[in-house]
Amino acid sequence: MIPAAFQYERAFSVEEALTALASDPDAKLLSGGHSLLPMMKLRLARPTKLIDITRIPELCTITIESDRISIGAAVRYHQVAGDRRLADVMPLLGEAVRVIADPQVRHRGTIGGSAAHADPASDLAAVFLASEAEFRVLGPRGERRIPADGWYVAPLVTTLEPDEMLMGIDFPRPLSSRQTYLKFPHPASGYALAGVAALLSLDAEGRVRKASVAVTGAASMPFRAEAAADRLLGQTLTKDVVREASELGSGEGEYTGDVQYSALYRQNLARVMIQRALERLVQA
Amino acid sequence: MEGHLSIQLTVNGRAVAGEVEPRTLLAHYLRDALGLTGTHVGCDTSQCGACTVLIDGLPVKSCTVLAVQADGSAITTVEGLASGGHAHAVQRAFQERHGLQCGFCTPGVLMLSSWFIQQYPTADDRQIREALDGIICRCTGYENIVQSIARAQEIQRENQAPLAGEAREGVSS
Repeated sequence: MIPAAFQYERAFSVEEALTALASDPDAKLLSGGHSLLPMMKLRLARPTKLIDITRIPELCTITIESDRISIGAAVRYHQVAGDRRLADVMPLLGEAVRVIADPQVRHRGTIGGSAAHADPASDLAAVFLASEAEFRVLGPRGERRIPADGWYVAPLVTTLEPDEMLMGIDFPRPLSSRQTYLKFPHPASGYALAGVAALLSLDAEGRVRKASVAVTGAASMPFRAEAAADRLLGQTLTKDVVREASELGSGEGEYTGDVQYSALYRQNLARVMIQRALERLVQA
Repeated sequence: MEGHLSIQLTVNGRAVAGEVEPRTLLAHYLRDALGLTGTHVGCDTSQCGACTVLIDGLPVKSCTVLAVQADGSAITTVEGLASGGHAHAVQRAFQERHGLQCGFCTPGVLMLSSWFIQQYPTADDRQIREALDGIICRCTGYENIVQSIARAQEIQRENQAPLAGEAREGVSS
């Protein structure tokens, strides 16, 4: 399969990319291409121009500062997985990235590509939501910072405007020290049938000081399980508390059944996976 | 040619320059323009991994990379694995342990394996199986592939083992 014909332009700076993007309403930014190219080969997408942004240096860096972690939009999954500094300050990210697809795909796919493609079963969606990530966006009207909660609109739709470009993703620090991503993959596709990102901090008495849980794959959209977090706050992590939080958290998604998995099954799986993720954090 | 772009690559150590349409996939460029038909196109949807080649040393699925994206990179295909008339450790191991049946996926499996044994020389069977996530083989059930990769690790160690005198010096350093 071969994509429909298109023009290709390589941008070496953010300005070049934005100018090229503004010149053609049907242009698309090309990063790792592992979501876009398959869609183009199937002719589900037919951009007239691809603007390759992977050689713009500032989009390819990982920066760790005292108050935030910034990941450039064109940073590839394997770079995140192999970054030792990142493993120290945000193990959750490496944990999630290592279960995306397979080694060959992880050598090409990018963090920003995943965010912009906005697959509703994307592993990183749960991580972005749970860690309160901010999306840095640049366009003709200047820079915008979009919180993860305001990013995902519908399957494959984000609040990014056609003439804007995702520059990178920022994670605020300090992050809760107990963090995990747990995935139940679809047995054939490997996509998350339910993926749960969870972060917790405890006070000196072992009570929950901060909690954040997000679920991807199970419901029609990735979602933040606020009710789970609320149930955990101020509590000691007993079995009952964890069970109730999982029940409440899974209830917040909007589930749709398909030919293989009913809505009820999906919701139950979300509950089970929230519980397992929290249990893992109790032991951490 | 109109609409064509110039690219320069190093393919199996040899400098290559060409003109391609932007939509030309790397797999097709290697096969059709360079005649390197060892790289197979299986599923053509980035699932099966038969088209795996190394770009700058990293295995990727060449059916999902545009030739223009690879401009300036070093590509290694299965034709470039052997050197100086000697089969690569993975080629020897797959032959010894019969790591293939029909052989269609084998070029991709060999390329992935060549990277894997270098990157993870002491990986166990579980890690080898995990690494094979991006490879679909419909014949072997993967048993002999896993054994072949484990054998390739051994061969790599034997090849790297310095001569006795050097080994002693190596230990002290």
